[in-house]
Amino acid sequence: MNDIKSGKEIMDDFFSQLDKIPGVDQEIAKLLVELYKTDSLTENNIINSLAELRRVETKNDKD
Amino acid sequence: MTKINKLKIKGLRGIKKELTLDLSGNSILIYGDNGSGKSSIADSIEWFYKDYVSHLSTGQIDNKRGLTALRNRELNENEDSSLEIIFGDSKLNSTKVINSQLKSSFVKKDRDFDEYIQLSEKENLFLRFRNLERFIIASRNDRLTDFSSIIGFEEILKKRRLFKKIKNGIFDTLRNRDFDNEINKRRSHLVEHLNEAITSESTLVNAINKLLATTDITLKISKIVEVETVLKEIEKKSDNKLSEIRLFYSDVAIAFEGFESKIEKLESMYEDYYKKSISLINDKGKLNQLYIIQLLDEAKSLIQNKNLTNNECPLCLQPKDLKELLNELEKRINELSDFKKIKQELTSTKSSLKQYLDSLIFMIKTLTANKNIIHNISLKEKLDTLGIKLQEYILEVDKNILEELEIKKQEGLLIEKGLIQEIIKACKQEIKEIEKKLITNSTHKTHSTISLSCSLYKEINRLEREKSILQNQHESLENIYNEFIKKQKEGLENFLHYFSQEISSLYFFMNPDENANNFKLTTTLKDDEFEGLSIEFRFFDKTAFPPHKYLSESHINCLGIAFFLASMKAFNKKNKFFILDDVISSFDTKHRLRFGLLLREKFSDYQIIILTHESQWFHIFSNMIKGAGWIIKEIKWSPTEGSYLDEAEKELGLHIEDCISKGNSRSLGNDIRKYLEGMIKKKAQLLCVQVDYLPNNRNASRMPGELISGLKGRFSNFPKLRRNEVIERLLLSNFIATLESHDNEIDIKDPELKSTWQFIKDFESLFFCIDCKSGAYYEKTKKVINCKCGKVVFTRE
Repeated sequence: MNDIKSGKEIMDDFFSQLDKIPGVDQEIAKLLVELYKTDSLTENNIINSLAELRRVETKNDKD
Repeated sequence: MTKINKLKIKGLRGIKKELTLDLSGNSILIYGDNGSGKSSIADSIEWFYKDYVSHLSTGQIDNKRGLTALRNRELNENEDSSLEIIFGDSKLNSTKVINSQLKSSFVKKDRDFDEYIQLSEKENLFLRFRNLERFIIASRNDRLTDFSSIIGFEEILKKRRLFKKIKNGIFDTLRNRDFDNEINKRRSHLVEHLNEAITSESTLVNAINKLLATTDITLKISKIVEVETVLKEIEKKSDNKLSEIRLFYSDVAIAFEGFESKIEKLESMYEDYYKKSISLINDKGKLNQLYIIQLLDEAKSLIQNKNLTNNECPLCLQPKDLKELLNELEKRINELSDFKKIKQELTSTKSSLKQYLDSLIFMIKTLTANKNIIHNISLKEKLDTLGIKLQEYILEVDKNILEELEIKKQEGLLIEKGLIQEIIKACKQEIKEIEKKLITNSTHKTHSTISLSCSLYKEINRLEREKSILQNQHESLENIYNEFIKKQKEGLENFLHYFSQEISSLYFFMNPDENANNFKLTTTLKDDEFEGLSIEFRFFDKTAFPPHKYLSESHINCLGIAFFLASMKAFNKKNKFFILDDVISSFDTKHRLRFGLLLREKFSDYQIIILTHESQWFHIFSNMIKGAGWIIKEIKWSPTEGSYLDEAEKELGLHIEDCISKGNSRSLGNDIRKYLEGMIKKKAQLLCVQVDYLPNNRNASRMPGELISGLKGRFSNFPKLRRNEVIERLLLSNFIATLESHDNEIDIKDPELKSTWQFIKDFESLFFCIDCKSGAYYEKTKKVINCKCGKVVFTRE
């Protein structure tokens, strides 16, 4: 029974380890965890956050 | 985890006046004929936790969550119905009230209690006969939905779909932007201008230095950033205007190279979108369902985004509990899942098409915003025409098909390929003209070539960087998605493995030595998505499914009970009690016995509330739970009282106490005799007094003398009881002697009645444990008389 987790426990574990998944950009991991923690992991929020991340990265290149 | 200490029910279902169940955390077995009000207890508790009564919520009975049928129909308008629950955890104690307007509310509410109710709502607390088969005979898809909802996997399924959608969206962007083609076009132009392949910054620097060497400019560059200085130096010597205009025409020409294939792609995407939309518009049934989904989705989104403060439905503005409304909305949306798929597919097609159109329009806007466009009005008009044509697509895609607006066919939106050719031709012509002028001035030509090459190089770098950032995001999301699937699969399979073992073990307990065993819940997949849950099992040493094809009604019900008990054990985190309402109706005798044993042996740490109308099982189970601290009650119903607990003995005791305190000895002797007879029968049952066999009803009407002899026999082996003063005082009293002659009128004087009553109370106290609040019983295996907790114990010699 100890290995048995509810859906929420699985999600909590997953997001707590998100930055450890090989091949995952740390900034993306950070933004997804933040959205999950604030209960705002929706399609629009993710799309907008990823677009903002791209904008910032492109801007940093120019600077 | 909490248990229930007390229930006070008033004005709910068949219970008119207050009905109190003193449980002190103990389990209870309640017997009652059909219509006596047993289920009123289960219904009241269900309403307390869920604010509805499931079996009363069907349209035929009541479309107000069963609440109309919940209130006792004889109550006055101004009378409230209520359920008060006193819990083991006293900070959760609360009363829920429902008035004649069917408004339900808790009298006391605080954060702890709100959280408790919220978590309890999802727990498995009730099992009714009609629900036994539900999970077993459900479709695989419904079973997965039900199961996912119970274990909280619904949210995982949603998140999985969300990650997939985002990941695919980024992939679409990468594909639509056609980075490789755009980069290659610019590379070819670089080769064309510099006569060599530019693979890095240093190769470009070398090429530029070679160009500079052919002019009278003595400067050289070592990095691309230094180009600006060189260009300014050249500009001092000649006008660079032509070079700038040439660069603009070059940008336009490059942008439109291969643009025809982009238009073909757009046409193909639009054709797909058009066909899907028309198929929906032409099918009114589908369209209406789609409209309902849209409406339900809107309402759900409003509630979820917490935009609502009042407890009212955002659609009909009627008073409604928002939490409950959200559950109803989700249920309804799930029911329309086929139409939801159509809607999702259409939304996805529309979103890709819009994204593609946006990228094309952005390109045109960037070109028309260039200041050099003023040199060529004709080109500007052509670009504007193209922009307008693309906007026409946007207008069609933005139309709400639910409003049944007509969408233009592809033919009505065609972009003439000739227009693209004209744009490219015009630019090439302009470039040619400018190059003719530049050829006469090598400095001009060098300036133009350097600035053009640098612009192309920077553009290549920008596109490569953009592609790399998008690829990185796509790769990250792909890895996240794959890991998510892995975790979801692991979690679900772990759970199903554990759950299958539990169910098999519970089923086996009720059906030992039978040819159906090893029940296994397995997932079925469709298009890489979990589609459903199937139940397999071993039947005569072969794998078989589904169970209802092979098993009898009794066996299916056993399986249903096993599912409920396994779910209850796995998911209930807040409550250590559960309610079984008439669940054994279809069981044969063998299964009834095994089910009783299962509850006694495997669920002794739970508080169980069992309601039954099966008198035979009631008597069998009463014997089974003897000494286990269970409370046994009978519920009855009368037109004046409503449902009430049959507590004749308790009431008689209170009446005797009352008469003694008031000095009223009239008929006291007979009342004490009645009480004593009942008490002796109970003790004889608890202490396993051995008496001669009598068939059926004659067993219950034994003469007290026979049972008293049996009691004396039982006590003779226990030293502390054999010569116990309390027992001797009662058993040797004149009253007992009189009792032997059952039909005689009791003729004992007042003082002796008082002392006999005291002897009876002392006798009861001797075998009663004040700690576990249960009476001592004879435990056959240990051959001792003890109470449930072991504090009261009498051992044999």
